[in-house]
Amino acid sequence: MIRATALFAVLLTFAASAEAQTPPAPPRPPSPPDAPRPPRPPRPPREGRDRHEATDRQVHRLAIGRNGALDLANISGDVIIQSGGGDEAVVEVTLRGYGDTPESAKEQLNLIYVDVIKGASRAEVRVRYKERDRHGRRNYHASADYRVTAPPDTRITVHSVSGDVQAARMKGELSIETVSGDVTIDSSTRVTTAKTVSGDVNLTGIATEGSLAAASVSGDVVARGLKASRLELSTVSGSVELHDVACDAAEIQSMSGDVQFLGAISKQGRYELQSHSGTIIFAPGTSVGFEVEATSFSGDVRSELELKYRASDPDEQSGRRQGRRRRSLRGTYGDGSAVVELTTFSGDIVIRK
Amino acid sequence: MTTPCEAFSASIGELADGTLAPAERPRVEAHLDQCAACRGLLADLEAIRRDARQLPRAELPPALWTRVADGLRSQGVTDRHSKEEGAGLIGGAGLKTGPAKRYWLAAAAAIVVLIIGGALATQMMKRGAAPPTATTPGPTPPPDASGNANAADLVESVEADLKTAEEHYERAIANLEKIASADERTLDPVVAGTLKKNLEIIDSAIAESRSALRSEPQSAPARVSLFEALRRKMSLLQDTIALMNEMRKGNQAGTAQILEGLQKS
Repeated sequence: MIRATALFAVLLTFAASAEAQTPPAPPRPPSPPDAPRPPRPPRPPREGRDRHEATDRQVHRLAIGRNGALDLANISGDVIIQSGGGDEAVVEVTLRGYGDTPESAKEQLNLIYVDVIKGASRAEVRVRYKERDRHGRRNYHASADYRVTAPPDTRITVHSVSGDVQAARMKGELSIETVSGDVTIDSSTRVTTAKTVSGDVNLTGIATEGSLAAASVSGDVVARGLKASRLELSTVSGSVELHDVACDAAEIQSMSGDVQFLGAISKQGRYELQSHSGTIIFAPGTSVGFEVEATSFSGDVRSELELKYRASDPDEQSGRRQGRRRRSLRGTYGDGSAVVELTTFSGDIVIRK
Repeated sequence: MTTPCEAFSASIGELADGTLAPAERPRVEAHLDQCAACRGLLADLEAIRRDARQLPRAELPPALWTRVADGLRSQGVTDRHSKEEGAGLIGGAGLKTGPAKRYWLAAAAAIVVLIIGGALATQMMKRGAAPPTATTPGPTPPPDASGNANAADLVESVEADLKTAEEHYERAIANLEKIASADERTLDPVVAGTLKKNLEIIDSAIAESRSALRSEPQSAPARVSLFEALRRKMSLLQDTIALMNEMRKGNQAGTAQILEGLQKS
């Protein structure tokens, strides 16, 4: 409680001072739709007072069955999850302590431990830090990396503070949240949550039957080959890019980044894309018709698809012709069976073929 | 007295909606395994949800949203009541008592009000504030005098409701500032820096939108932008609370201290 309150103190102090000081940002140019993402740089070796490292590798075999549940919690370090066979989950945890001498590194290593709670079909694995001593704060220089192999239908939740989380080829429900680090999920079904504060969310080859919520605060949310009934994707300062996506409903938001939706929409589907200052690119293909309302306060709005403009379209009412610059449009493509709302404040909106 | 099935009804609804917390799921599923009635309820809810997705989208008349707002007011959905409801919500989530509890409850209550007010405001802006008068020139048939009066009343009512919703946001922020004064400890600088930068971005969007509304008071996109930015800011704060709660549950030694120590190295 105290810590969270402290966070609020910082947040609000910053928030209160920011509004009057920050000048309006100019709209960013749209990023190329298929620009290759740069590889993540390797972590630099530790130096200075943390140049020595002591490690302890533990392997926990947890017989939770083929459809069991696994909860993982970590403070600092990466988590890698992959699909395996059998009916047990294997959780390999590598604990690391750092110090300026081998002895101090070992001392740090001794401050952390793995806490495993095992039930019949459920297990919790948490890395815990020993309590502070009675003299006050203890400085922790320790981390833990997880490597998990679990039956594909295992339900997995991950809560991490600092570190990347990766999961691949899982079929059970998957929920991942971290504070500082990337979340990467490949070739999995039933992904429900992928969230980070400072980091990117990358989703590839996801085919989930239900809803999927992915969010970052300062990073990008990127998905390729994604199928879901409903998508809720958001970021504040990053971009949202969806390539080869198919969903029945989508609610996608960025505050200062671009939003791209390149994929298929569904009849009776509903799609809401929004950015304050970024560009919105909406390319739903031509197989399903939709009604669209696109609005920008100061950006340009245009469609490369031949739309039938509604009578309520402002440019129709004022007698302007298609092709001129406009700040909003209301129109229908095909049978108009899906509903699309595209909204920006200062960015452009492009409806692509 | 609450029966076991009644105790699960809300969770079953969330399961059908896909919003049930993963941690809750095993408990609910264990009950479903043993209870045919609840399995039937879940099947019904899922069927309704599937069918509802097939329904055409209905465009509600703008006046409806005004009536909803009036109804909420007449039923006393005010800050005082919402605070009590907020306390219940937080209590149900397992919040422990502590020195700053009253501030959290106040903040939670304000957020509840914002969720209602913000949703209402957004709907009103998208529908009710669609310019029915001078801002849409064109060959529309001239309404009669009573129609003009009704439209003017409606616009005025929508304006008042929007103003009320904005005030709710501002009041919530003021409550959160009380939280800020309750504890002066610092946070891990990297995470705090990230949040600071992004709150600045949101605040910049709020400032831009307000500036646009000063120059074009009837601009629907400027209003949508303003309320979305306010809502986003509250959402970020809510997410942060939830995240911090999760972190606290899994960490007895102080997450922030650990991060601080690691990142200084």
